[in-house]
Amino acid sequence: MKLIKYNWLILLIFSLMACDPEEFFSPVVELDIPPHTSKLVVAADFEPNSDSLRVFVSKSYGFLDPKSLNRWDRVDTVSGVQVQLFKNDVLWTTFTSAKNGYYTSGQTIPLNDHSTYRLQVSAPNFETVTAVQTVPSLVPIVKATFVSQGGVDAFGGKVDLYTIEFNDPANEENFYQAEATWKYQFGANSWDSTTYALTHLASTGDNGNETMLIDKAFNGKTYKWLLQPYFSRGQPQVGDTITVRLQPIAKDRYLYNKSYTLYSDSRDNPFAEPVLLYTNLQKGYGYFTISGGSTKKRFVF
Amino acid sequence: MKQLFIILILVFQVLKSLYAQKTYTISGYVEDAASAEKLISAAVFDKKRSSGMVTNTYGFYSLTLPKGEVDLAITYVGYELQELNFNLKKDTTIHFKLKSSVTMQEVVVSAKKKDRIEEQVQMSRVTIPIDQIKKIPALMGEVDVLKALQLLPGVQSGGEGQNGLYVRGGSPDQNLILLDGVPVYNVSHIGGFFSVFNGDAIKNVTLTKGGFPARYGGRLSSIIEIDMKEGNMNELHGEGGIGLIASRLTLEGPIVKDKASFMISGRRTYIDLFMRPLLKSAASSDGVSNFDLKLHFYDLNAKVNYKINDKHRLFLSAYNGQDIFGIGTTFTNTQAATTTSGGTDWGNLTTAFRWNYLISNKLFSNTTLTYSSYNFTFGSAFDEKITTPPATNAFSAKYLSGIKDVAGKIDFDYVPNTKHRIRFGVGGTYHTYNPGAFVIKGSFDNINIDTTLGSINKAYSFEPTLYAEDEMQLGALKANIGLHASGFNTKKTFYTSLQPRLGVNYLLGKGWVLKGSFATMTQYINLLTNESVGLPSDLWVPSTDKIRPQRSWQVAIGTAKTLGNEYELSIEAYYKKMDNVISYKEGISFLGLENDWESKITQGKGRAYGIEFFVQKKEGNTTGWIGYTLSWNKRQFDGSNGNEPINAGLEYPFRYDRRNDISVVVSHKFTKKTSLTAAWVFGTGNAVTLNNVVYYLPQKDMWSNYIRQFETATVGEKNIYRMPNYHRLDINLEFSKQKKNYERKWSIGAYNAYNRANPYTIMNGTKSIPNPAPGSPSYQNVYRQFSLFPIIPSVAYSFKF
Repeated sequence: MKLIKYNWLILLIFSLMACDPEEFFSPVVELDIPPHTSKLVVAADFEPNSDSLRVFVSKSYGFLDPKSLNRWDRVDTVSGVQVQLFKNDVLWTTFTSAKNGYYTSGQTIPLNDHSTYRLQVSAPNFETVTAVQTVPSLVPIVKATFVSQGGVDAFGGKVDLYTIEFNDPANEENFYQAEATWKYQFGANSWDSTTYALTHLASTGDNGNETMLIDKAFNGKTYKWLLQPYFSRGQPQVGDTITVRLQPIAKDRYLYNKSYTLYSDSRDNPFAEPVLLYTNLQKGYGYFTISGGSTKKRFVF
Repeated sequence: MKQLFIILILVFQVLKSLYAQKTYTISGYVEDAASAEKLISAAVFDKKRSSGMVTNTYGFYSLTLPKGEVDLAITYVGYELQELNFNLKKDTTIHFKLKSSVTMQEVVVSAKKKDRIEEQVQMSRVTIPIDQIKKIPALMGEVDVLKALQLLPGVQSGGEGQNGLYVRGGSPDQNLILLDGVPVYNVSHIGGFFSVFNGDAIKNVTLTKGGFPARYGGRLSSIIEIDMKEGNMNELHGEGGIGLIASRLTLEGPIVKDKASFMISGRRTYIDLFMRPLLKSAASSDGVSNFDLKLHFYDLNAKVNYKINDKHRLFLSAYNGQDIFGIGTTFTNTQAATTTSGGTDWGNLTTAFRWNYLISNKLFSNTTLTYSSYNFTFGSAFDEKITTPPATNAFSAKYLSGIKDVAGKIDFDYVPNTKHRIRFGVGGTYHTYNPGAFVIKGSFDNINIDTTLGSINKAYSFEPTLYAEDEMQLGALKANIGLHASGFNTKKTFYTSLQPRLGVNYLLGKGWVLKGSFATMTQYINLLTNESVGLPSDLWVPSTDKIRPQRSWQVAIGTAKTLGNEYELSIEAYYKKMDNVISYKEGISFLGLENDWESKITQGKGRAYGIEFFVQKKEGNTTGWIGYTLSWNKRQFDGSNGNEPINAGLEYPFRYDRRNDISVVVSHKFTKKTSLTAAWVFGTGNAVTLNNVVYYLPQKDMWSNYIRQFETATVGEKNIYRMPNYHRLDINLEFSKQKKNYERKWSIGAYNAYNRANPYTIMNGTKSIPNPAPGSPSYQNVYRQFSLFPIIPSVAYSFKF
């Protein structure tokens, strides 16, 4: 049989098939990647009229660095950190070291302050990190309501409905965040719930996500925000208090939260497009934002 | 006024030169002598005047020459030269029947007389004969037209084993794939490992990747024309084969000899036939009373060709292909009978009716009516009948999506003389889109669910087109100048586009030619797909008031030469700019149904540039080609025009930005009966986005209000890393033998012959550290590569009569 003339080829094919399946299908590979240069990581979100200002400072790791794993229970503090806040380019306050990577200042940012604040964080062997913010104006709640089973969710089910009505300032881009806290009784004590208790009742398209909103669709108009409570502890009981809060936020806060939400929702999904986490810090990771003052409305059950 | 006068004088001079001599027209068809199949792009050449033309898609030619002696040569690759000398003194119709040169001992064709590469105005266009495609080694021995195209310069494959085409920086949805002139929307079986085109039913495959003549439109990156066989007019023939995963059979022959013919071809996989009894037996032993398995795909091509007379000819062709995967079980016990089922199926249906009308010996028309549909469904159902107390619980979920086109067009081919060939036409396509909806119904303990996720509303649009082009010869300069106009209506907007086209060819002497082209293209429909793998659930959606049409312009220059009489060399450089290309937004999964599709995508820009080298040998015992592409391919979604940015608005390498891409295909005929074909490919690794930095930030815990550190393992910039390079060798050895009544062939091959573990994807992972030091971590982050195919041998038997 003439096929035999080519048996060397057949033998070659079948001998090559004898490979280690695990090593073939999912080997660990070394990629040609530049070494990671550690950068300062900063988290600072200031509110006007608060008692103190806090800044968290840490550092980044390369993904392949064994130190990058299991750090959630301890902070790798950076030595020699200097945290300064400049107001209209003049040094306004220097933060002092507290613990676990936090730095504090006793200064208070006034409400409706239109100054420009620049945060500067530096440390030996790290590039200096800076970011600039202005304080958003206060936008008070004009009216807030609660209607039991007054809303309809995306699946057609009836849900409790909160509304927050406010007048959006004209001719400027504004961002808002709504939150609710639930003071409930547990035995003889009362406890505050988390502040992540509201979601949009209906899709508002490009207006925002989660409990944040951009005024693209209602710039300069009165807006009634429909919100559905998302409580993890069942329904509020008699004596419980729900406090709804509206707060203008910085654009950078809106962009950071939006990208962080996308990141959190997609981080274990291999089919999702990767998210480049937003930062407004030059040469660092994290965020520096200043929110506007907030107004609250309390509902007692 | 003076300018108008000058123009009139020029027009008069041109007309005078055209009609100064008494001329007559020779016209007709060029066809295969044995089967009467029309030959596309066969050259009809008057040696005496050094002028000629190539046949059109229907094998038609028209040559207007001065009165007197003509010395015609008719050539086509793989066929014997035919020559005819006569005295032209009236309009003449001649149908040339060329004999295949396969049976000749030696192919002797004067290269001087052939349709040489340097004489073709069209650049960036490659035609691969189906016989050559059939020789190229393929995964599991299944001939794959699209994977053969991936071996050409400027054309890249996506992932391992995928048949998506990335042409000059484009994406797979930017390719218009036409089967007998009808768009085929999903060209993949089993998620892209096999294409829907059955090689036995195909006559010819042509790829145009740039320099688009005005008659083409609707996609940014390429036009792939796949012509089905017409059917043998003279005698009944057949071919078929048995492979590892599928078998196929094709029959063709005359219905009325020399008048009407048919071709019918089918292919089906049969792994389900072996697996069903095995799984049924296993299920039965687990108490399953009823078991059903669906696990196959099939393709069915058919064509009828009817020659009414020399002036009129009709074609009716159809294709239907389907992938069907499903499983169903019934489990019964004393308490209840539970039936579950689930599965998915998808497929195309295309039909085309064509009418060739030879209006005069200089004017040819083709009228086409087409229908094309693609549907994808995915569903699962659960039904439980409880005996005591009697109750019924039921649940069903079904996902539906698809696209449907009804189109009509008329094309004219007018050849007034040997200096001009004018094509013009008009057409329109009515699209219907089903953009994807999940219908969920259920009843549990008297609680009913009836909801729909996604959009159940169909969308409609109309896309009219109009074009005109003139392929002209002005001394050493040949040019094709044209204009393609198109429109597209959406709910509120009517988009229009004027697309100028230019192709030039200038003979430099010594056989070298300089070619150049410019083309703008507009694409009104988009494919929502993820970058890594083409799935049947990929969704075709229209441009809308929010989603603007994709547009591009491409400029290319190049040179070409026939080396000796056997080798063709071409070098082309290109630059392509694309606007309004689409991508999923950051964090969006193509599997998610929570949003409408428009809110999932963003639009941006793309640019691609590179240089392609191509050396091809078409004749002799050793044939094949070497292709090399050096290219760059980038995307930028900067957030302008109300779009969301990607990668902070910065430009980044497209996933298929492949700096070096090499393909070598060699086919050698050792004896009349034995041949070996080898294909080796090399490509720079795909660009990938991987986690490269980890940091911890304090976050308020959602449930406890406690502030703790949350890990953020995030990406630096998009697509800044590279997978390892891809390279693979495929081989195919053929043993053919002529039996008494038929020819049989054994093919033995191997895909990935040297067992290279090529990267399919790379993901973040972890690896344990053996014997870690006290206090040190016991595992670490790593990048893990996933590979698909080791060496895969194949054996196939085929026959032909």
